Amino acid sequence: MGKHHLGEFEEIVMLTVAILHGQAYGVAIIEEMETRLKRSVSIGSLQTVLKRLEEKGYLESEMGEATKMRGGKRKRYFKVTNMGKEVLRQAKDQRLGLWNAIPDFV
Amino acid sequence: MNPNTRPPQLPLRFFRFFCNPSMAEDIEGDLVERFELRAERKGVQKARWLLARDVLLLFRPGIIRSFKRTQKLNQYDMFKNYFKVAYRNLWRHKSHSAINISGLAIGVAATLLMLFYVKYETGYDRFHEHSENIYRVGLHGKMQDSEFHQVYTTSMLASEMQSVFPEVKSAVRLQKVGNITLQLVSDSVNVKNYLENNGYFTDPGIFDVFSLRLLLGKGKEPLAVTNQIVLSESMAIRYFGDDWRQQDILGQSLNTNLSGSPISIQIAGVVEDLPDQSHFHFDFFMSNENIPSSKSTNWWNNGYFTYILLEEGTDPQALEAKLPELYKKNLPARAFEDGNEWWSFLQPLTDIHLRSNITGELEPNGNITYVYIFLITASLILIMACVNFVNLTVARASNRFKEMGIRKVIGSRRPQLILQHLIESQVYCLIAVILAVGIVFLSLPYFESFAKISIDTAQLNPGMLLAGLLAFSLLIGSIAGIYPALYLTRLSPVRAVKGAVTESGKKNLFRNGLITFQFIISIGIITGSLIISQQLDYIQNKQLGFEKEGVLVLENAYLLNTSYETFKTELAKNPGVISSATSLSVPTRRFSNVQFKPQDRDRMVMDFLFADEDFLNTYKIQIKEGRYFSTQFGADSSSMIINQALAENLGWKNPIGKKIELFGDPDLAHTIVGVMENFHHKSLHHDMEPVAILPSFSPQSFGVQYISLRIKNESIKNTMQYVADTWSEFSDAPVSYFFLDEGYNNLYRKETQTKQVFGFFSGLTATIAIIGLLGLVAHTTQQRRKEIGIRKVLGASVTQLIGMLSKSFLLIVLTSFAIMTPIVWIMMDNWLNSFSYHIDIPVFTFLIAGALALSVSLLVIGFQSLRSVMINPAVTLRSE
Repeated sequence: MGKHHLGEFEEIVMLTVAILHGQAYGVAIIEEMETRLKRSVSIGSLQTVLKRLEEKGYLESEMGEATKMRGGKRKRYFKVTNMGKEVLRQAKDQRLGLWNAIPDFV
Repeated sequence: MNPNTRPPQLPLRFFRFFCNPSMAEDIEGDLVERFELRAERKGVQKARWLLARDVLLLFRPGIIRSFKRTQKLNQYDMFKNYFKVAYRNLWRHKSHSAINISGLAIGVAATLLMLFYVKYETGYDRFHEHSENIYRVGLHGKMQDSEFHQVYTTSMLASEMQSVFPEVKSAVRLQKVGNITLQLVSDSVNVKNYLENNGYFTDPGIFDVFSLRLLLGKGKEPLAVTNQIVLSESMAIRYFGDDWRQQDILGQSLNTNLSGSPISIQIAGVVEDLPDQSHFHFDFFMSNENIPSSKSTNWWNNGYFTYILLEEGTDPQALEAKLPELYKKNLPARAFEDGNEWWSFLQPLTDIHLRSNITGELEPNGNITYVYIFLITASLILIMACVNFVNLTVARASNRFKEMGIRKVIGSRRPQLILQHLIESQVYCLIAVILAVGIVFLSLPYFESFAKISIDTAQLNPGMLLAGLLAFSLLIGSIAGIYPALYLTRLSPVRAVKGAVTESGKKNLFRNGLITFQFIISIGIITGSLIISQQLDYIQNKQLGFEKEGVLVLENAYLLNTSYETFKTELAKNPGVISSATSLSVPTRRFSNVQFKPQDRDRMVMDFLFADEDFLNTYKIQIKEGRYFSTQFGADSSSMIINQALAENLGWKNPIGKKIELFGDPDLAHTIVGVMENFHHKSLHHDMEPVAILPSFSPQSFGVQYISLRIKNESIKNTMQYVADTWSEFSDAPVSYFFLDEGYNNLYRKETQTKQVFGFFSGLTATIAIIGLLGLVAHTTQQRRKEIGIRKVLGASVTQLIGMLSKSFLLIVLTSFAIMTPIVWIMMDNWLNSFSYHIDIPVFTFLIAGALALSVSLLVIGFQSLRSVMINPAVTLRSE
């Protein structure tokens, strides 16, 4: 279990990538997180996490086409892998298990 | 795009610089996109600022690329390859490498030993805490035409300087106690007598000036009162054994006899011995209070060594400039009549050992010239070792050209190849240095014993030593490796790969030049050391004007309490004793000197001694004119004899009958009754000086210090036993004696030591030169194997071939001999002239050194040539 532990920020990033479904690249992820969570995120912290998650095999990425926008630089699109989905599901189940174990919650 | 909304380039450039290339593109895209979004929402200025912030926040592990890895990757393998090739080359040509490395190792080892020696000699007296502020005060005097510098100063000087000059922090004076017998009474049965001759009367201030470590009891206080003694540790061990600390030695008394009256003195303290690297050593200290002369206010009372400690930052020259004034003030005006001069000078403590050689030095000092000579020799040896390396590596060059060519074709640039060769020479040097350290380690004990030095290896800082050796190795590697590196990488790849490189005459000229240079140095050093040892032998065996062999000298004859005549009669009873004579001093020991007033001549200062009627005949000094004095003539107590040098000095054709007044006092006039041959009483650095002998039975006699015995060569042991037995019948004090020839050799101790060290290193230089020659000959004959084979097939004889191979090398030896001779001739001539008595430059020695070099080279060349000539031509011609 400990092997597949996700940090809080890692979990949010993965969920956001899943939400964006195929359109998840750096700025889009940040924008999504900022609108949904009112949380400001720097490119640096996001990229570090993305890289780490990719190394763990929860995310995969591929480069998109070059466009005139962004100074002609290509985007890197992220996608949740099957293993990543499994880890997300596990995290959700754990949370739910905990929630259900609470006797009476206001 | 609107130029106003362009993202700022500086942060982006920085980002591109540090970002991991695999992530750079998309992140930069993100940065730009975000900037554009923000520019719309929040304004360009703010967006710019935020972009810069984002870039800074990106500067974190995981995103920064690894600089080290990407830069090193390529070079690292190349470096590995350099080391590998160096290693393979080393093993492939084992004999060549062995010759190369051993030459370097010997050179480095010799240099290290030499540096140890120089460091030891220059490190004297630095153990005192304030050594750089301690000075010895000497006396300079000029009377008539004689000028002198001496260590002895007046008893007043120390206290006077301290009270007059505020910059003198403390001052101390020392006076030698001279020979003294100390009697240790442990109990009624155990009474032991010790003869001591290395004690000093001194002041408590000695503990302020010098850094003496007190081991037991008190130091300062006892030196302020009478009849107390402070021992050195070694003396405590001598008296009480190794466990002196366990015994209650403080307060124990020693019986002695000081200026005629028996006293008992108490042991008050023990101090640590001074280290070897001190210009003086002591066995014990007693207070100046014990001698009346220490209270004398007479500025002529010159018997003290004066040392002062100056305040930090004092200019010694400024102080020195004020000293003549001090003498003007304290000496009577008549002392400065006739242009006579008196003043004091300061000698830095740390300079005494190497730079001071004035009258009255406490112990024989070293000589800065010899230190320079050794430094020069060390650098010459090192240069020779490097030259060897250059020569041998360049000789092998043709074997490497192909490799260089291929490397160039593959893409190495010249600087890289140069680096490769430098690395290779570094590898060789490192091995050589490691070997050298081994050699030094093994030979250090022998070196220490013959160079008379002791190196405290524990004192060396291992870290510093290691760093020093590494730096040394790097330095030598670079010096030795740079020429071969440039030489080997110089060819164009095409020529190198074709292997069309033949050895041109020009290259040979360079190599032959180097080997000639080596031979010049080594034959030069060998010749030099031969001449030095001949000169020293000459000195030690020169006709001194007396026969130094077979003379036994008993010291401290005053202990016999005037029963000299009976003692001499007793001695004469032994058939081993030919004759015996009493005297105030003997050759090799300091003669007294006072003022004399010769008849019709100016006053002069000269050396003289009081001796009895047997002196000349015991020393076998010849009388040239007149006669020696004798007790048979009643009036002889006011006679004297002079040597030829004195007679010439005074310009007296017929000196017999002339009078000379002692101290210039007409009442003390002595009549000359004879003229003796000159004899040397000092080292041969000095001329034969004017000397007079006055009868010891004269009323003015200063007493007797020595009894000299001429003894037969046979059964010396028995004779000495007899002498010692007879002595003990007359005195309780132990007998102390030396053989005159030994004492004489002691005058040349430093020279003998230098001779040995020099001889050792000249052997080393010769070895390096021979190693170099050996390597070169081996290589040349190897290269000409095919030629030799063809010549043999065509009918050349072995002798013809050897002759052919040896010719050029013999030419080298002869050339270097021709160049070396005048250089060494001039240098040795200069050195020899520093002696008043010296040999002429021995032509024969040059021939011997030349012949030696020639014959050893012939042997090496002949052996190597023979080996290649003896190979069956079929073997050499078959290849290819």
